[in-house]
Amino acid sequence: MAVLQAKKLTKTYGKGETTVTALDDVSFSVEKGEFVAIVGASGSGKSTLMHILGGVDRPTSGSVSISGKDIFKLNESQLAVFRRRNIGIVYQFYNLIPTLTAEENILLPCLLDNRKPDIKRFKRILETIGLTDRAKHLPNELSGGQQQRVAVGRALINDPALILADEPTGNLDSKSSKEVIELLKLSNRLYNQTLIVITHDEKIAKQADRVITISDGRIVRDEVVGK
Amino acid sequence: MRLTLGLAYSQLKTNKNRTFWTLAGIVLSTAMITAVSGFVASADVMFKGLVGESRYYNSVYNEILSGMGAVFGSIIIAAFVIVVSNSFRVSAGERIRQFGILKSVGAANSQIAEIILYEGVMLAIVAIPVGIVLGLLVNFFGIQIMDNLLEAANSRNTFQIDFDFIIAWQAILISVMLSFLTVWLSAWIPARKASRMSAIEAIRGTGEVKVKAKNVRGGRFIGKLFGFEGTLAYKSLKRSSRNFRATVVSLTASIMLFIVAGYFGDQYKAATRLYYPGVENANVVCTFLPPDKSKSDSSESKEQGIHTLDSVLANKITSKFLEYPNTTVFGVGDDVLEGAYNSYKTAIPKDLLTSEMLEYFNSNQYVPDDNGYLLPVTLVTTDAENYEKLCKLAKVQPGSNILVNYARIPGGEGEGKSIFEPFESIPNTLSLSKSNDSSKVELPLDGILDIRQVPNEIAATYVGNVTIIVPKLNATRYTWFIETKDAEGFAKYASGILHDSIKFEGASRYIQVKNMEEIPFEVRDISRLIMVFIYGFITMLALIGLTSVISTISTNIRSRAREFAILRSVGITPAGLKRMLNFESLLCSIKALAFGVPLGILGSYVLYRSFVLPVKLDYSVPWMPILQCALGVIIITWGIMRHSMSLLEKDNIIETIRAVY
Repeated sequence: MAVLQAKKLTKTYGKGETTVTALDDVSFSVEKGEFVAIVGASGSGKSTLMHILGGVDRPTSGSVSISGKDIFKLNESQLAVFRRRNIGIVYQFYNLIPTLTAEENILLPCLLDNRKPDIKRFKRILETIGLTDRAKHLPNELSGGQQQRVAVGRALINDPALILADEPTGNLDSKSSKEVIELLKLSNRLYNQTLIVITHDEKIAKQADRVITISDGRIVRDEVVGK
Repeated sequence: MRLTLGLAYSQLKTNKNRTFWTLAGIVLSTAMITAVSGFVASADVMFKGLVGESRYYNSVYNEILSGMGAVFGSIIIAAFVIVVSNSFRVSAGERIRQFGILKSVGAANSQIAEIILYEGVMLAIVAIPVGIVLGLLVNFFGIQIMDNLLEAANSRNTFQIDFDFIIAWQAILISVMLSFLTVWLSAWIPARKASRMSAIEAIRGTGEVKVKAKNVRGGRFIGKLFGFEGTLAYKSLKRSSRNFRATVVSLTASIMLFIVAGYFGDQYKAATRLYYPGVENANVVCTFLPPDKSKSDSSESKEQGIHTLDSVLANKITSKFLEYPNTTVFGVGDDVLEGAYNSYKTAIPKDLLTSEMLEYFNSNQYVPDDNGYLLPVTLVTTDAENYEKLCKLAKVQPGSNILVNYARIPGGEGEGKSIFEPFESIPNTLSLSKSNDSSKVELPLDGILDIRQVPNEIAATYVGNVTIIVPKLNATRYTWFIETKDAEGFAKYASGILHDSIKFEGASRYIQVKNMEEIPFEVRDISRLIMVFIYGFITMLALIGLTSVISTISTNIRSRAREFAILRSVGITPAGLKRMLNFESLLCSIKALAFGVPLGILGSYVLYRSFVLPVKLDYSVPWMPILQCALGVIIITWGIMRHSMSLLEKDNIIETIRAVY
């Protein structure tokens, strides 16, 4: 069954003569446990696509359903709740809350949901991201790679249907990049986590099960990469 | 255009909210300095014209006005410096990164400082002239209003009081210089700080905003009370307290100033109340008073003796008055005969009297006999309801006799009157001897009302050296102070009741009903006028504080736009975000109150020590302004945070997350 189904997504900015079409009638679906890389040049519309998939931006037309639920039929509050339960997002610039410790940042989606965190799962995630001894540190006391691993941990904590990563290695050195990608792949294998990564790094794209190429707001190629 | 000037201008344009509220703060402060110095100039001219005609008013009001000028002037300047410098600190802090980048491409320290100073100069050039004009307008209309109010008084008095609107160039020059100096100073402090920071420090932003890895306690408790959003707010406040410092400082300063100004107002009001006990709210006053002998046929009066009004009848009349809708009544009577001739006298031993009372006796050559000073006694009674209240106030059972510890005596030449407590301690019983024969009455004393507890109605009627409230009395004089919605209707109604109830020959000559609303403005109401100005001043001060609070809070929220966007992207609901901000504003308010209230109390005490009103009062903590302030601060902070947040909510999450970088 498809975890994610995008139908005829169109996103335009501006009005009249200055209209820019960032996404033009994009449709595709992703199966549970799939690792999909979305590639494309800068300005191709791939980030816009990811934000719409993540429910943080709304399309001009078209629909996105995640685990069978049409997310844009939800109101602002319902969508927020849906996001914290079903979608984990990893940004290029970590985007941690500066006043919360690594541990608190990871647990954030869980705590926002007013649930008691699953300590076992949290411990396992902490181990997976390799930050067991730095859990009580604030983001400004961590290196870039460590911060990004915290961000991955935050995306994983609620066992979401979908993890979206927007250029997760764009701001990291090659060693840290490798670690973060390994981590994402591990979660994909370990928890059968569905993973969509936006990147223009060929090396990362090659590790995915499937590569979708976007150009000028359209899908120009969608190929399964054999391993 | 110079680059530094351009950068300063672009900053003013970018953060329009802050620019607007900073401008408003400078305009209001300048206006207030101008208005106050204008009033002082006008008052000065007025007093100079008055000297020699009435030294009495001159001495009292000159002291009060010049003192007020000094106190208000320094409060305004303090508020001004705090508000404007806070705003500049925030503005400079917001751009630390930009300064770092400028430095890394070779900007000199002086150029960085120049940007901030230009910002100040531009704001001053716009705001100060506007403030001067506004101040002159306030001054002009204020004086028009005062003169209108004084017109009625002037028509009846032998001397005239007019205020003239004067444009004193010295006053304007002083205002301009003070305002400009303040703005310059406020800009210079953060400018120096920003220019000294190293480039890399500035780019990393480690200089200004530090997040500390504090172990935050009490989070669990707050979490239970306010949910997880409460914990979030609590942690962000604790760990990045510097971010909130500007807000807390501006709130604290506003609180402190409000309390000090409020204390001054209360103190002034209390002093005036003691000085001129008047029943301000009463709009109808009914009296039972023996007719003036000089106007009537003296032989007739002597033959008939004097009629009295007993408490039972007085209370009956009071309850009939109360039947009139929307009416409150305070009835008070005493046993003073015409010409302050008291029925009783008593001897008070020296050791029961306060030093003030003894001093007065000494300076007036009163000689005590073996039993002490022989003093006239005034017995006072009030209506039943108010008598019960007074018993509660004095903490005694109904039926008790209560000593009123209040004396108002004329002072020396030009000093006005003074008011103090005459009794150091009270005897259990007083031995009263009738004035016209030697029969004695023993009067037990059960309680005491101190100088602040004495109701205006009693203080206004008559207070002698020894005044005792008794439950029942055959009053020779009785006065009802009435507060009613319909003064005209009530006056007719009361007149009817009085004439129906009091029945003896010639009773109508004892009865008077005055509708105070028909009586024009009295000179003593100048004190009320001054109250209006004090409260006007407090309001303006509160407004200045408000501009500062708005500018700092809106900047704080704006600078955290990204943080909020992240929270939204990981799934905080709009309601959750609101909860978090509610709690944050509550915490900010509490923190500011924790600093501001003690500082305000301290400030009011300093004011108490340094500024002597013509009436001596003990210091008391200004609880009322503190309470008003606490409520105001919580509501205002909450309102502004909410409003600033609602401006952000419309933004797209993703654009915010990306744009700030």
